[in-house]
Parts: sequence; C-alpha cells; structure tokens
Amino acid sequence: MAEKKKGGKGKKIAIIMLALLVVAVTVVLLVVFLPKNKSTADNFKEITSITIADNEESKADYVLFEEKIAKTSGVQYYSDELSAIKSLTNSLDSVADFYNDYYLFAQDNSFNGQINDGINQIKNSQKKLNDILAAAKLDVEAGMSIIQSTWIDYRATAATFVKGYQKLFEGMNKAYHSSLGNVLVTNDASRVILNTVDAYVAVIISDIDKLVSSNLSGSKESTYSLGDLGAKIEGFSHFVASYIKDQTHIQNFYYTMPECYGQLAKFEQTFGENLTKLLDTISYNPELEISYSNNLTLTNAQAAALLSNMKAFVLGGEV
Amino acid sequence: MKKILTSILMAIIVVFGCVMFTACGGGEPGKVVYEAYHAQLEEMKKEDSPFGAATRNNITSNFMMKNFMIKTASETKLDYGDQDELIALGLNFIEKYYPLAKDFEKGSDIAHIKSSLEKMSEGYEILKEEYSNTKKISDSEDMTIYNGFIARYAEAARHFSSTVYDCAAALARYLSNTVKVDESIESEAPTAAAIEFYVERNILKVYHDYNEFLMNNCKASVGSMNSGWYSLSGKSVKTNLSKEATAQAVAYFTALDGERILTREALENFSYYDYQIIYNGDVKAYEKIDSHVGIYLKQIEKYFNQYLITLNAFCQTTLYQ
Repeated sequence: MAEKKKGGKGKKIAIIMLALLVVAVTVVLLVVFLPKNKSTADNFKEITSITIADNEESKADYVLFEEKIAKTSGVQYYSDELSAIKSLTNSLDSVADFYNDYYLFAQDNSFNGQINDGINQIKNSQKKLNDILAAAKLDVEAGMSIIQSTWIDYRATAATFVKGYQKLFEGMNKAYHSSLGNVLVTNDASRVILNTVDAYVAVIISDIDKLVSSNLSGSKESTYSLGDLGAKIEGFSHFVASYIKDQTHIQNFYYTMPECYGQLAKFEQTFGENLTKLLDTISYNPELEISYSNNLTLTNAQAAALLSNMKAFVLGGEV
Repeated sequence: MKKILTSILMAIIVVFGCVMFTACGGGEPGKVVYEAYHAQLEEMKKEDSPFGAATRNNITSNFMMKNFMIKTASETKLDYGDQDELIALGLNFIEKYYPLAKDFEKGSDIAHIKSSLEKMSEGYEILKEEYSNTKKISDSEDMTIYNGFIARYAEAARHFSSTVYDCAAALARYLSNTVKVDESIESEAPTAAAIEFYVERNILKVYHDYNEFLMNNCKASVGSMNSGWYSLSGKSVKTNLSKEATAQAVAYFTALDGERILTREALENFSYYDYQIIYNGDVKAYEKIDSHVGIYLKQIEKYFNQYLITLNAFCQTTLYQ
C-alpha cells in the first residue's frame, strides 16, 4: 500500500516536471519565433518619411491633383483648401521632427500607448490618402463631380490623419516634459510653445470637422466656405516656423530668460480655455478683445499687456 | 544546524558593525585624501616626468607635456593634438583644489578616490615610458619614424587623460558632497570660495565632456576643442557675482547636467570617429547600420556646437574676469 502511494507521488512529480518543461519550451519558442514589436522610436521615425512633407512620390501626386483642380472649372474654389492642407502637413511634420530629435532619450514609456495609437492612425490614414490620389492620377478624364468626390474623401481622411497627430503630439508633449529629466530644453518656453501647438491643432481639427460635415454629399461653390481655416493654418505655420523649426527660444531660455514666458505661462494656466478661444479667432481678427474674469493680482493694464503679448506670440511674432 | 545559525548570526553582526562604523563617522579623514593626491602630483613633477611648467594655447600649467610635437614634411614641428591641453586643464584643477581636503577631519569612504588615483598612477607609468622612448630619437630622425614614436606617446596620453578626468571628478565630488565646499551656493549670501569652486567644478565637467568626446569617441583623430575654453583657463572666476547671476549659473549648470546625460547616451551609441573616418561625414550611410544615429549626431552637435559655445560666452561675459 505504502509502495503504491509512493509510486503515485512519483508520478505526480513527473507530471508536474513535464508540465513545467512544456511551459518552458513554449516560452522559449514564443520568444524566439514571435515577430518582435517595433520600438516606438522606430515606429515614430517611419512617419517622418511617409507624408507629403517628406515623400517625393506622395508630394508629386498631391501637386498633380492641385494642377487638376486649378484647371477644372467648377472645382477651382478648392485651391486654397488644398494649399492650406499641404501647408498644414508640412507644419505637422516639422513638429514631429522636433519630437523625433528627443523621443529616443525619453526614459518613461508610460505614454507609449497614446503615442503608438497616434502613429498608427497617421500611418494608416496616410496610406489611404496616398491611395486616393494615386487612383485620381490614373483617372485622367475625371470631370468636376469625380474630382469633387475625390477631394471630399481626401478631406475626410485628412481629418483622421490630423487627429492622429493630435494624439501623437499630446502624448509626446507629456513624454517630453516628464521623462527627459531636467534638461536645457524643458523650460517655461517649451511648455508654453508645445501646449500652444496642441491648442492650435485642436482648433484646426474643429474647423476641418465642420468642413467635413458640411460637405459630406458634395459641395457647390455657392454653399462652400473655407471660413478661417486657411488663416488659422497660416498662423500655425508661422508659429511652427518661429518656435519649433527655429528652436532659439527653447534652447536659449536659460540665458535670455524672457519674463514674458512666465507671463504667457500664467495666461495659459489662468485663462486656459481662452487660449483656444484666442487661437480660434485671432488669426483673422488681430484686434480681438477677450473678456475674462481677472482672479489674479493683475491690474487691467497688466492683463491687457499680457493679452497683447499672447497675441503676438500665437501669430509667431517676437515676444 | 547550530553551526549554520551561529555563522549567520556572526555575519549579521559583522554587517551591522560595518554599517554602524560608517554611520558613526568611520572611513578616512581629509588628510588621507590630501596626501594621496599630493604624493601623485609630486611624483608627476619629478625630473624624469613627461610634464613640465609651460604655457601653451593660453593654458599655463605645471603639467604641460614635454616633447609633444609632430614633424611635418617641411621639417618644422607642430603641436600634436588636444591631449596635452586637456591633461593640463584636468591636473590644474586637481592641483588647485586638493589642498582643501587637508583640514577636513570627518572620516568618509574614499574607495572611489583611491581606485581612480591608482588608475591614474598606472596610466602615468605608461605615459612616462613612452615619453622616455621619444628621447631615444633625434630631431634629425626621418619624419615617419619620428612621428611613429610621438604617435605611441600620444596614444598613451589619450588613455592617461581619461584617468585624469576620473580622478579630478572624484575629487570634485568629494569636495562638494563630503567637505561641502560649495554648500552655500544657493544661500542668500554664498561665500567667495563657494562661488569659485562651484563654477570651476562645473567647468571641469565641460572639460570632462570634451575629453569623452575627443579622446574616447573621436580617438583623438578628429575634432578639436573650442579655443574659447583655452582662453578661459587664463581668467579667474568673479567671486562677487550678483544674486541673479549666481541663480542663473545654478539654473543653467543644473539643466546642463541633464543635457550631459543625454549627450553621454548619444556618445555611447554613436562614434564620431566612424562617422568622419569610415562614413566620410555621410550620416545617411551610417544610418544604414543604425537608423537612429542621425538623432544621436544632432544631440552631440547641439551640445558641443551650441550649448557649450553659449556657455563659454556666458562664462567670458558674466562668470569670469
């Protein structure tokens, strides 16, 4: 009886050992043969080479479509919008390039989920945008209505594309400021500048969405209105050129320490919602006055000066 | 079983005793640190030393390398490279500041100082050997043979230079963290001694950066140190800095420490020597091996060509006289 019990125990141990062996072999096989995920840095680097800002073939297709719009009667009113979307893509690409120079050094990967979501959305929608224009290129006889519907498709996909950048930049902004450590390029200037990028992108997306929803089933010149989108994109383009492509303000902050950045930060913290409001209207109305509750110790004159600085800043002027 | 328990108990008592000894002020007093540096510096000032007192490229030092010249086709001789200047700057710091350890009575762990001094001493013996070899050739020797001897001497200097900076960094850390020479730097009224040491230990870090870049990453074959740093070595720190200037210096040097970490990471992942010599300065070619090298290169170039140049201007105009 005792021998039987002993034999049963040995069998149990053998089964457990066998099970452990199977688990170990499975783990080893998974590690060796499963395709490795690309690192976020590799994934990110890819998007800096696929957009019309970087990829010559995509850019050529876009230019061809612009030419088609320009010479087809009945759709020429899209020209400004095409030009604006191209300018927007270039500006978004410049911001991505800015983050690309730093992301590899980020120590904290807790924002990778949001960042990867944004990257994948950009990559997928960029592929669709390329396909739309590649198809349009083949359709040499396309008339007004086909060109219209091509652009309506393109615009809707472009909205998804820009929203991908929105996710990416918001994640990158957090990663940049929280995981590079205390470095020269994370300061009051970088905070205000990169938060303003996020606000600009939000305002531009809101306008593109309005355009998308008002042109779902085709548009006519009489009902089409680009509104302030072109002016906002132009303002964003100046802003990116002044503070992102030219990084003087961020890199030299500790030497120049412009007090206005402290004030701009204060504006942003205190009147956060007004930053979006300001961006939403300032591009076409530089004389805008914003009413806000003054719960700081600012006098009216100080608040007015602050607003004036903020206006100059968001339009890419010297601060 | 009883034996095992007794052994474990004994081990616990020994570990506890060591911890208590350290916590209660065990370790070596400052005099030991002083004597260790003093002995090594005196050794390096002896007659057969490769060093002598000289001024070269605006740097005056008791530790300027002798006979560190390369022969050209026209039979004239030129200063060989940055090794001599970097070694002189590092040893100047040690020579100036090690006496501050002399009267510090509290004991502390100086293992890192001792090991860095040992490595410097070993490097020095190799350097001395190569220096004595250069004396075996005459000035009329064929250029190739002459320069071959100097190249071996330069290679020993390249390795020695890194030991100097490790040793100087260990001293700077000891004087700052243990002796607390610059403790008052962020107080309302920092002392003149605190300001001077604080600024100079941060400038030492800059020389250390150049040493990492030029001597290790570039293998002393490409790149050079910005001459603004040579000219700064002849000047002295303004010890009556305004409160604002001191705060600005502290903010900047602190942020530069963070930037230095990124740059060291870039240097670990990027060879400027390969970039210039193997890939002929073509980053696209280098990127075929590692797609991220362009990012590392940007960080390295930003750090050395922008941040340190701007810092040098700040030093020349605000921190030094």
